[in-house]
Order: sequence, then C-alpha cells, then structure tokens
Amino acid sequence: MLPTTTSQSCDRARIPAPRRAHRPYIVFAAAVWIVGIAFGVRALQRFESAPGAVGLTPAEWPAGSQIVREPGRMTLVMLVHPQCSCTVASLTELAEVMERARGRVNAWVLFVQPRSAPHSATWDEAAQLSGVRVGVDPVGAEATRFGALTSGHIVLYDPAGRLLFSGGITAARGHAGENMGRIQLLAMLDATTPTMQRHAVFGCALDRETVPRSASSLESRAAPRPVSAQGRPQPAGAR
Amino acid sequence: MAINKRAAEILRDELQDVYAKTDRMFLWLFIFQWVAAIVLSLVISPYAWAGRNRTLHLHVEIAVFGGLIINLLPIALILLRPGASITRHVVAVTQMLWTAIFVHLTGGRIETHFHIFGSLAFLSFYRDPRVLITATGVVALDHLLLGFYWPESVYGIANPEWWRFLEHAAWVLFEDIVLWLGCRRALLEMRVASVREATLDVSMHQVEQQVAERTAELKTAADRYRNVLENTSAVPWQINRDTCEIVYVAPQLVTAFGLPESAGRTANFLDLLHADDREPFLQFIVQHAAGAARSSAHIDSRIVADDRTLSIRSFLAARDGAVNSTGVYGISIDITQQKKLERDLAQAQKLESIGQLSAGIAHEINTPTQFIGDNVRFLNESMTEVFSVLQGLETRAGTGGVGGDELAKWLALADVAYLREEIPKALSQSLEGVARISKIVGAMKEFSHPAIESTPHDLNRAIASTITVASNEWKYVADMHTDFDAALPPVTVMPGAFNQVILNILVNAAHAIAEANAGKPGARGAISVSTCKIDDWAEVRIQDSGTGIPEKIRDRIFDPFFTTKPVGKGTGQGLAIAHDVIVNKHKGTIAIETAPGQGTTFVIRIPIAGDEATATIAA
Repeated sequence: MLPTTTSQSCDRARIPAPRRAHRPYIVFAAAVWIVGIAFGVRALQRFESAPGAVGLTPAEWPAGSQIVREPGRMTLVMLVHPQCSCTVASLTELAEVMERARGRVNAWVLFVQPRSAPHSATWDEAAQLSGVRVGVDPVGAEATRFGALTSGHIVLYDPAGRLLFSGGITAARGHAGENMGRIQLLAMLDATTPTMQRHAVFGCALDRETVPRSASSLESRAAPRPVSAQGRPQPAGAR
Repeated sequence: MAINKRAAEILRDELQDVYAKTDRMFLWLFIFQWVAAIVLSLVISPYAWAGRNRTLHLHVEIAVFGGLIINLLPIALILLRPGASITRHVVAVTQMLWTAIFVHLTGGRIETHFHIFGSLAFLSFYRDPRVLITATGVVALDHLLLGFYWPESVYGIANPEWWRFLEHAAWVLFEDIVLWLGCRRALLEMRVASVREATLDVSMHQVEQQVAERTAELKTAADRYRNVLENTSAVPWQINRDTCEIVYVAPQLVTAFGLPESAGRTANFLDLLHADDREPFLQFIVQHAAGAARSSAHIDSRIVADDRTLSIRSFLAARDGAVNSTGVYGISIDITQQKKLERDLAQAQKLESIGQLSAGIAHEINTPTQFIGDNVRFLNESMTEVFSVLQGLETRAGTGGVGGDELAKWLALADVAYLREEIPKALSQSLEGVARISKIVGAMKEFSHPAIESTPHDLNRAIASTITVASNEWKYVADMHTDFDAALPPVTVMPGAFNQVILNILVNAAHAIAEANAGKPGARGAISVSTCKIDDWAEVRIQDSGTGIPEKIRDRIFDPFFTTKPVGKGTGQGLAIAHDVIVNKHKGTIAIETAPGQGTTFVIRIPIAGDEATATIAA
C-alpha cells in the first residue's frame, strides 16, 4: 500500500550518494589541468591587456590635416586598421560615445589602407555609426599627424583646436564594455574635466610602412577622401 | 522498512542514472562548444595584424588548444567515472570556463554573458544543487580575482568596490535559487516515484517469493507423487480417449509387467494388449471417458509378452481437465497372480464345500450301504440254508428218494416260506440302496463338473444335483420345495462355478433356518428353489425362511471375507464368489429380497445365450 504522506516517505527514502575517494591520478590530472588553464588564462590576459604603441599627438590641431573642422564643434578622429578584429570593440564603444555626444562632435573614422583596397566588414560597421563619417587614410598621413600607431586610437579636439583626449576607448584588445578610456572621453565631451586625458590603446598595429617619414612627403600624398556618414564618397566641395 | 530501504536503493540508482546521462550530455556539449569556439574565433578574429603583417590571432589558439585542454579532464572523467561526484563538479567548472572563453572570443559582449545562465540551466539537469554552487563559485572567484588584478576588464573602471564581485555573483545566485527549486521539485518527484516503485518491487518480490515457495512445494509434491507413482507395481498412464495413443506412461511399465524393453516405446496402448482385448478396451475408454470418471470403472485385459500371458486390470482414474483435451488418465495393475489366486480360491472354496459336505454325503452313502450289506448278509445266510436243504434232498434222491413228509420236514427246517417272503424284499432294498448311492455319486459327479468354459446346460438338472449334494445340510432343518420350469432352455453357463453358487446359497439358507429355529425343537423351515425364463434371461430364485439379512450389512454381504458366522463355520468367501461368478463371469445379476425374520430370497439372472449375447443386446 502506498503511503499517503509523500514528504515523510521521501525523507525516509533519502539516502546519501555513495562517496568514493578520489584516486591519486585524478588529483594529479586535475592539478595539471588547472595549471594548464592558468597558463592559458595568463597568456590571454597578457595578450588582451597589452596596450599598443602610441605616437606623439599634437596638442593643437595639426595644420596639415585634410580633415575639415566644423566651427563650434569638437572634432573626433579614430584611426583604424581595416582588418583588426579588436577594432570592432572600439567601434562598439564609439557608438556609445556618439550616442552620448548627440551631435556635439564632428567624428571621423579613417581606415589606414590603400585607396584601392576593398572595404572590410569593419568599414561597413563603422559606416553604420550615427554621426560618424568614414574615410580612407591611404598613406597613413593623418595617422602620423595624430600620432596614432595602433588601431582604435582616438583623438578629440575642441572647437578651438586644442587636444582634449588621446587614446583608446576599450579596456583590452577587442574587449567591449565600460572602461576608463570611454569614461574619460565622455567626460571631455561633457566638459566635466578641464585637463587633457590619455588612455592606452588596445588593437593591432597600423600599417607603418605607409606612414611617411617627413612632413613634406606627407604633403605630397593624396588627401584622404572623406565619405558621408552612409559611406558614400563626398564631393570635394562638401569638405 | 524493506520498502524504505528499497526506495533508497532505487532513488540512488535513478540519481546515478541521471548523473551519468547528464555527463554524456555534457560530453557532447563540450565537443560542440569546442567546435563552435574554433569557428567563432576564425570568423571574428582569425588574425592579429601588425600593419600589413598578420599572425594567427591568439583567440584562435585559445579556442583550439585552450578548448582542448579544458575539455580533456571532464571528458576523461565522463568516460572513466560517469556519474561520479568529482566528474560533475569538474563539468561545472569546465562549463564556466567555456563561458569565459566565449566572452573573450566575442569581445566581452554583454549578450555572451547569458551563456552563464544557460550553462547553469544545463547543470541543473544533474538535479544536484551542489554542482550549481561549484559553478557559481567559479564565477565569483573569476570576478574576485579579476577585480583585484584586472578590474577594468570586468567592471570597466580601475578601482571598483571590493564587493563588486558579489553583485555579479548575486545575480548568478538568483538563478541558482530558481534552479535549486526546480531540482528540489524534481528530486521530490523522484523520491515519490522511488517509494512507489519500491512498494511495487517489494510486493512483486513477495509474490515472486511466494511463487518460488509454491513452486518448490509443487515440485516437492510432484516429486513425491512421481516417486510414489513410478516406484510401485501399478502403471499410471495418460492416453488419447479416442485412439488410445499413449501421451504418457510410467517408466515402470516394462519392469512392473516384465515386458521387453521395446514395450516402453509403444505408441498406442492397444498395441500392448491381446488382440482380442483391444476392441473391448477401446469401447471401455470411449464409454467411460465421456462421462464422469469413476474409480470403480475398470476393465481386465491381457498382455502377451514373450511366451507368457499376463492379466492387467485398468482403472479409468480421471479425464484431463484441460479445455478441448482428449486425454484420459488411468492406471493399470498386474492381476495375473490375483487371477490365479482367485481360481485357486474358488477351487479351494469348492474343495471346502466338498469337505464340509463329505460327512453328510458319506452318511447318505453309508445308510444304503449298511442296509445293502445287511440284506446281502441275510441273502448269504438264507442261501446257505437253502443250499443245505438242496444238498440233503440231493443225497436222499440218490438213496431212494424223499417222501412227502420228509420233504416237508426239510422245507420247514429251511424256513422256505420265510425266505420266499424276505429274499425279494432284501433284493429290492439292496437295489434301492444301490440306486440311492448311484444318485448321490451322480450328483457329486455333476456338481464337480470340471468344465471351466461356458457351455449350454440343463439348469434345472444342475440345480437338482446340487440340492442332492447339499441334502445333508438342509434335510435336518428344512423341507425342500422345487419348482423347475420345464420350458427353460439350456443356459450357457460354467457348470462347476454355477453349481458352486447354488450350493453356497443353499448352505447359507440351511444355516439361516437353523439359526432362526434354534431353541425350537422339531421346528422345520422351508427352502424353495424355482426356475423360470424371462425374455432372454434365466431366473433362479432360492427362498428360505431363515433369519433374513439385517439392513446394515446388506451392502457388505458380497464383500470378500465378510461373514456373520462363527469362526470355523464360514470363511466369508461364499457370496463373494457367487457375486463374481454371476456378475463378472456370466454377466448376470444377483440380488436379494430380504427382511429381518422374514427370510431371504436370492434372485439370480443369467443370460440364456451367454455373455456375448448379452453384450449384443446391451449394445
């Protein structure tokens, strides 16, 4: 006859599972496993947290820049490597920044790549960002002017041409999410901090071979060809 | 108590099964995640670039080799220690590590963090809340360590509060609680089910135990019966009631009946029997198998084995109770010795009867013999006197003759007148005595007819002879009245056996009359013997005026060795033999009409044409 009170029966039926002593080889294997994982984590952490190289960013808007500043608006320029997967995270953060800027900034994403090179997926992603214009820096002249050596490097200048921020806006390579770089950049946009801010840049190295060694050579290079926010080339008159 | 113990065993087994199955699920999940991670890394970040130079991205290496390493231990444990506690805890740790890998591969996307919650749901399949705690501990430890060493990577700021890891862990714990409730409910249902199954198991075990005990008892009983049945001289069998084909026959058939080994392989029971007995046996089976089995239903048959013939008696024991079964059970016993004993007993009984009658018969013969002797002696003396007279006359005749006076003197001397009167009487009496002796001897001869085969006989004459033979038994106590049907045709009987029956009944009648008239000097009873023909039957009625038969013993009077007579006067075989002779040997009937103090009438009916005619009529 079945019991009518199930809880009592269940209590009586409760029985601890048999415990078996772990054999030494399991303990040894687990130890080796943990050590292996620790090495992997360490390698990953070192890779992702290693900042890229950063050049000298001029404190005033470089006169040779082909980018046209707009009166009364801050100017933001991000230099990126077209194939750098880490830059996707930077673009994600840039989207967040642009959302917060609400039209107060004139933003450019320049791809350091030959003009004839096909657009990468990163280009398309950048072109989708609101309020951002995408262009090509075919010989890396702009990157050189702004001291950008690592993909995802952002420079922000106020309407008067003074440098407000220089660095990356991710916490690690290819790592999206809240980070000090983005916080600092937003603080400068909001003008809540008076001093210029810098932050490490995490990403792939830009194509240095295209970067000229002198300003003259820089001048001889073709100017970047700005494109619209939708990624379409703009006529020269629109600059 | 047994139910609780069994329920605990069932629950443990069920949980072990759940653990092992979930282990196998994770085995495939780990492999899938490994492949997915490799594909994801190749799609998202195949290369790390340095200008125009590219190298394989560390994420790819982590996906391939890191994924392989973190999968190795749990997969090994799943294969080697499925269901073990260590296995599922390692699985929990591994699954959390996979979350970390995917988070890194996807650039820390918020959406990827949902992998944690999906993983916890998968881990809840173990129905072991401790596994959830392990997984949650890994998450908390990860955030704690990263909070110390690389806080920006998880919190986005350089100096987070120390308890920030607890905030993240709390959300995981929130899901843990939900999953724990689910586990608890599932465990509760498993426990209820285990108790239910244990109850069934215990009941089934008890039933099986009872079945085993009953089966053992049945086997013991069957062995006992088999030992009894197969170690006796009786031979049980089962045959087809329509064809007599043997379904089963006890192995002692050969030994019990002394048959050749080949008899044990006989397929049909009829083949064992004498050719003349097969059809009667088949008819017997067909006739009795259709109705309710009676233990008294039996048939005697013969078996011819080698150079001897043995008699068996087969009893129809029972019909097979199975539906549509055509089998019948029976048993056969060797009655060869019994038949011989019966014959010997009948002969002994006959000799006993003759012995008992011998004194009376001797007396019957002695009386005429005595007076025959007296008469012969008288004749001898008379003839001596006659011869002396004749010799004197012969002498006188040689010397001149004898005168009338002298002759009268000689005749007077010889008392010729007396002799002339008595000698004829003496001769007549002697002849009568010789006739009486001749009659008794003839009756004795007829009574002791040696024929054992049934042949047509004059029943009236046979009965009269027996009455004569037994006259010394009844003539002192009763008057004999006979009423024989002169129209009675010859009746097919075994004369010796039939006479024995009549004798036994007459002797019993005389004894009953003597008992009834005991203490009544001069009182005489009466015995009436009559015959008549009724259809195809001859009826013999023997009536006495004796004591009658009490009600309580009427059913036993034909039983062997049953007698009410004092020791030495009766053996209890008389009526038993009478019943056997009339019923079994002549296929007739024997009945009694009696009342205490009113005497007894035995009514015997025998088919005039014999047994075969009766069988024909009955058919």
